[in-house]
Amino acid sequence: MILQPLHAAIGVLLLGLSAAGVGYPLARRLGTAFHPWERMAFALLGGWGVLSLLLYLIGQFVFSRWVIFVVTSGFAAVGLRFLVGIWRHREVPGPWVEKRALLPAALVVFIVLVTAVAGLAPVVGNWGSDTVAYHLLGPKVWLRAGVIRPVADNCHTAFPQTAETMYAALMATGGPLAPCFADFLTFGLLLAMSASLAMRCGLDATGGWWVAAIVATMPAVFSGAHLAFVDGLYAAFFLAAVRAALDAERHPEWTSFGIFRGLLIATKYTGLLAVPALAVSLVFLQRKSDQGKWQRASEGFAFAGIATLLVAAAYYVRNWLLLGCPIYPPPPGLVHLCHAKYLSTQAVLDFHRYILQRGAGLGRGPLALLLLPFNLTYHTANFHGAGGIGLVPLGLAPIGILVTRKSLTTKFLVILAILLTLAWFLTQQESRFLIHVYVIATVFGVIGWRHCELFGGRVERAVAGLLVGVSVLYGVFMIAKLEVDPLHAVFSAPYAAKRYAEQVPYAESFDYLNREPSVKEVLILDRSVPPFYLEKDYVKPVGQWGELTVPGVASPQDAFAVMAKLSITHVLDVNSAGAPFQVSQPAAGLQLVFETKNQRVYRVE
Amino acid sequence: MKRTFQELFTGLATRLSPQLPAAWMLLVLLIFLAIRVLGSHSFESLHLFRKAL
Repeated sequence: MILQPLHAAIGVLLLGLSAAGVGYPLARRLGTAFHPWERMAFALLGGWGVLSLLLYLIGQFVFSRWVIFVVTSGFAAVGLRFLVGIWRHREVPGPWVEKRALLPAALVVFIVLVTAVAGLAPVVGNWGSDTVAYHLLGPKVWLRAGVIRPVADNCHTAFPQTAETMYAALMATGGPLAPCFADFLTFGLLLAMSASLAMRCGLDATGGWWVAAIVATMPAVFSGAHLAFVDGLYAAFFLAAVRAALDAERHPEWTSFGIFRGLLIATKYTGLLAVPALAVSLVFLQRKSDQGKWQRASEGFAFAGIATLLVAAAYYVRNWLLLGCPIYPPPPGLVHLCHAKYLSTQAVLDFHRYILQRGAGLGRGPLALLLLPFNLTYHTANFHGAGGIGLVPLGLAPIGILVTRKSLTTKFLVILAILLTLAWFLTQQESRFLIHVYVIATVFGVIGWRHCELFGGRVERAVAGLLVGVSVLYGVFMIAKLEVDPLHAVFSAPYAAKRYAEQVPYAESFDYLNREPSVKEVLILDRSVPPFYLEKDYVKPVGQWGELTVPGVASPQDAFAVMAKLSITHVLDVNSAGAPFQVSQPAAGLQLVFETKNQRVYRVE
Repeated sequence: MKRTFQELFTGLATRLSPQLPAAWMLLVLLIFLAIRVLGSHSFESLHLFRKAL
């Protein structure tokens, strides 16, 4: 029971050290405006992204466990040297937590600890879980195939893969539990970036801890930062880019900004919408600065542009070459311009319809926009908010913005947050896609709270404290409620087995197929069956989003004709909510070898 | 008349503004508590009650 968590911890340690090694040059490029602890966090975060890019590029040719181990071990040695140097020269002097910051620090430690321990629970869930459907499916298939290629039956595995490549490396070095266990590290980095931005906006270390604590206890943020979701990492890259841009003057600093901006686009397609918002806000920021700074910034923008392109291009060029479209599945503007491999126009349009429907929130009209701050706070379920964002953004951020309204940084961040929210509002209103805006709002919220504490009357101070207290406690309660189940599974093997049986669809068939040595290549007929649980090669002719993965096969029934060509040894047939059994018995050439409720496995004769 | 109104308005605004942040925060907090603690059923009951009236 202890071996798997230990294996996961070793994998995370190796990749963490490796990321520090890759990010070391990045930390050196940051100017004097950064605290030593910020440099360390930036090195780790930037290194995590750039290491992923290196592995992704190598993985286009070969992606074996051995190659991953050699690459990561080499960089881990550099990272170890870097960290030992920091320790020896006492570059990050204590105390790390002042007495006044003990409470928010304890909250941060508690939530990060919950993330780590709950992350050790085995992954369960059906095709509705993004973790199962694609975040961890791709890495598993790549490791089996020894090369990084989109998994044809799930178009989401062709999304930018910064996070997923690291999940694959974590699986290779730390076993199956390592990807979700590593969430504590990326979540911690998101909180570090939040604190860094807060301190850049004028808050002291205690204020920084409070921002981290309030962000950590937002259930919507937590939901996007655990279970191998990529939204937390995406937001961390975004905040790092913003933080780097705020103090960028020399070319190396602009290059650092460009790298983080590139990692943004290399993590999630929504980064493509964030880049213009960042550009507009940055032009505003620099134009308002003095003439000399604007000129230097113009040159800096060029350096940043090159860095962004170099970091992000690989994911889009690869998709263009292999799948016919740089953004896959193609967005509305590209549907008729690209010929997307495996996807019919109808399948793409169905996907768009699904996205619009899922991200409809409470409407896209002017009134819905006006009411958005209230709706996001009180009607969290309409945005798949997992419990919401607490009360600090709505209750305290307006006060913080008002009292710092003359600051150029405030104007820059407010413009940026408005543009990002508008883009989100018009595309997909999914709460966790807006984590970076919640962090900005929290920074202003804590500034507002501090203002109330310093200049407010007795009532104001009391209400502000109560608001923060209620918000944080409610968030902790919601997160704890969500994590009781995985935590129980970590500490109780019988419960973990029960959870697996209950929450893994067709678990009995997967168990049979995984343990039976004669199973070499499985034909999965139903598109709702999650192949993540299968440890063998498989063919799924019709994918989750209507992908058609085998030429000439337009339905599961057609697949029987080409089974010999596909070297199929076994067929998994299920009676699902979407479709009945596909094989009518007795079936010629198929021998029923396993059957249980709603599941049948056939051997090809 | 105009001057009197202006004086009244300015006076009111000056007297109210220090209380505004507290009032705003209290409002945010109370709506939250009403929704989360009392639950949506209470709102439903209130709605039905008003409808009955």
